[in-house]
Amino acid sequence: MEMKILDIKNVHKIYEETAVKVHAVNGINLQFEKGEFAAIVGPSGSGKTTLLNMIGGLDQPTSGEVIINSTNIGELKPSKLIDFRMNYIGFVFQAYNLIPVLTARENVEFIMHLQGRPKKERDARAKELLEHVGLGERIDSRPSKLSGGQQQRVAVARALASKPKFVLADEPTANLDSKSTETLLDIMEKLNREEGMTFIFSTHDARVVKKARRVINVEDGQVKSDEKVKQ
Amino acid sequence: MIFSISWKNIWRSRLRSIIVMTAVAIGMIGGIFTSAIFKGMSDKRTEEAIKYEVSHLQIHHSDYFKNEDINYTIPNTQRILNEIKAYPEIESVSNRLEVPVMIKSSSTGTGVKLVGIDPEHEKGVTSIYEAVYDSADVARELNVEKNRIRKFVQDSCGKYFKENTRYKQIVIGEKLAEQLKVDIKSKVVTNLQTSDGELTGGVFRVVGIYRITNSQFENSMAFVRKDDLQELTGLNEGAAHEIAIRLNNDAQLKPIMKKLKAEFPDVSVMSWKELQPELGMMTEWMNVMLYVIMVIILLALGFGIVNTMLMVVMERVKELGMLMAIGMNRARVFSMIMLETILLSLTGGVIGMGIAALLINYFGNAGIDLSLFSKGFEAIGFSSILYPQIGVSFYFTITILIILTAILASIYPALKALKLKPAEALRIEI
Repeated sequence: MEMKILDIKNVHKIYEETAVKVHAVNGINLQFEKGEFAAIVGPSGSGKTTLLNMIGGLDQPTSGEVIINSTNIGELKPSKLIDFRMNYIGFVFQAYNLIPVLTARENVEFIMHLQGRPKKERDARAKELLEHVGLGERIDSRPSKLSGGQQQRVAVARALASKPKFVLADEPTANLDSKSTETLLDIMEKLNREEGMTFIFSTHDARVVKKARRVINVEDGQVKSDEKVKQ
Repeated sequence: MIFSISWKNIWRSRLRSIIVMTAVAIGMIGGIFTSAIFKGMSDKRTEEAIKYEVSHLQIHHSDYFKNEDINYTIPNTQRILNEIKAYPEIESVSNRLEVPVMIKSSSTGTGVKLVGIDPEHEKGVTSIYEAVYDSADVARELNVEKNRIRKFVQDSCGKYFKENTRYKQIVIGEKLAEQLKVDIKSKVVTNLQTSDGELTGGVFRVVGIYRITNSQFENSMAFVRKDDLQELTGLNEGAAHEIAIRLNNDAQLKPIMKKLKAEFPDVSVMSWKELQPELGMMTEWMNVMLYVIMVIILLALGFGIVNTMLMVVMERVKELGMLMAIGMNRARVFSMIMLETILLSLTGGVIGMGIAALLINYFGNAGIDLSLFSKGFEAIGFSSILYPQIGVSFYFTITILIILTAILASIYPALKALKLKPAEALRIEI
């Protein structure tokens, strides 16, 4: 049975900071179900980043609703929203954004620490996840000792550590060479297939789009096309 | 984990952190060492004042301080003496006569207070006897050649009071001796009023010259045997103007004073703090000043720390954005920055305190010789050799002050961090 984990209802975002009103997102409706492997594609300025920020609870829509796991996140108080992000959404960023002073294992553990999980569980899960992403040998390395691709794999492990409902990856391959990109995508695909983890990417990258099973084209703040791809 | 991250974060910009720590450490060394010098001076002055000048407590006729009349002797001196000798907290007691006199040598004269003491009892109360020096000893100390030493030895009989002399003996301060141009064996004449209001005079021979750090005291206090003074003034045998009391322990001052006041309501019982109010005030004022110095230093350091932590926040905008995005709440971000500031400041502070403690320990034993400027110091009663010292509690207070400073200094940078919007912060390119 398919479960709706993310429901975006008629979302608008208007920026009024400048003299000109910018309608960055203009009435988007989207639904995501558990286990999707979807890419949101669009040129710069298309509004995909704004959309992604709203899905991730990092920005509030001007109107419309973002419902995650039957919670309208627009109704959450800022402090609750942070906890909500921690427990329901995994983030992977373009620039990896690991904590440089912590080792790979500690980076993965960190979010579980914020969640208040016991040390034993944290250790075991961090180790398991890092093995999943093929870094079982490098668990005690600091980010500076890892390649970009390896860092991004740690970031994926970190995103999964909190057991989120879905992982939001903002241009995860933008800084990677093709070999690293392929490895990373394979790992994410495997996690998607084996663990049923939902991945939503924003991307320019044709290699990502090729792997995606659903491609959503965004232009001028609106969904231009939304296609399911049979692999 | 936040603690560990904060601690590791400090070492990300190693040079910058070391610079801040060095600044804090130097501030602490400077502040604590200066405080220790002041405190050492003040404590030494107090200690010497108690040792040589006032002792811990004094009892007088209740009107004595209104008008130091020769007839204001303490009523029932003997009874009081006998009773207070029974107190276990009291180490020793001495009773004295004190009479203002004109003292003259062959060349000049001046006014002093003649203190009539019982030399043996007095030893238990003040240590003037230790401060009486023999010219020969001084010559030896100064490494004067042998012939001259012999001459000194012949000339001097500088001692505390001797038994059974035909002449009346007097022990005077070095400054007074210089002023009167007298030496050991010289004769001085004193003019004073008897208890009947008659003028009288007495001839004394200088048997000892004492040297303490308070030249004002040296100049104005001369000691004679109580019997001699009593005879001159015509006061009754056993009469005393003053009973000086030395305690076993400074801490007993307040309780003992209370007891004595209750037991002898007719006389005035005063502590050294009241007898030398400027000394008591100095001790208390000094304690306040020490913290004023430290607060000023910490305030200056605090601004430097604010600046550093602002840089830290600016550099880590992206990382902070990430942390907030993945679920680090405001309280945790705030405490991480605050903890980092505290650890940074405290590391410098502890290093500084450690070095300051070593310096104070070394100079506290070796002393800092300021004899070049000592004339000025001794004129106001301070020793020319400084022994810096500071209590352990001072370090505890400083530690708390450093933590407070760090907390205050971290508020603005931490608030800056909290204002970041994760979505924007993540996109900033540095």
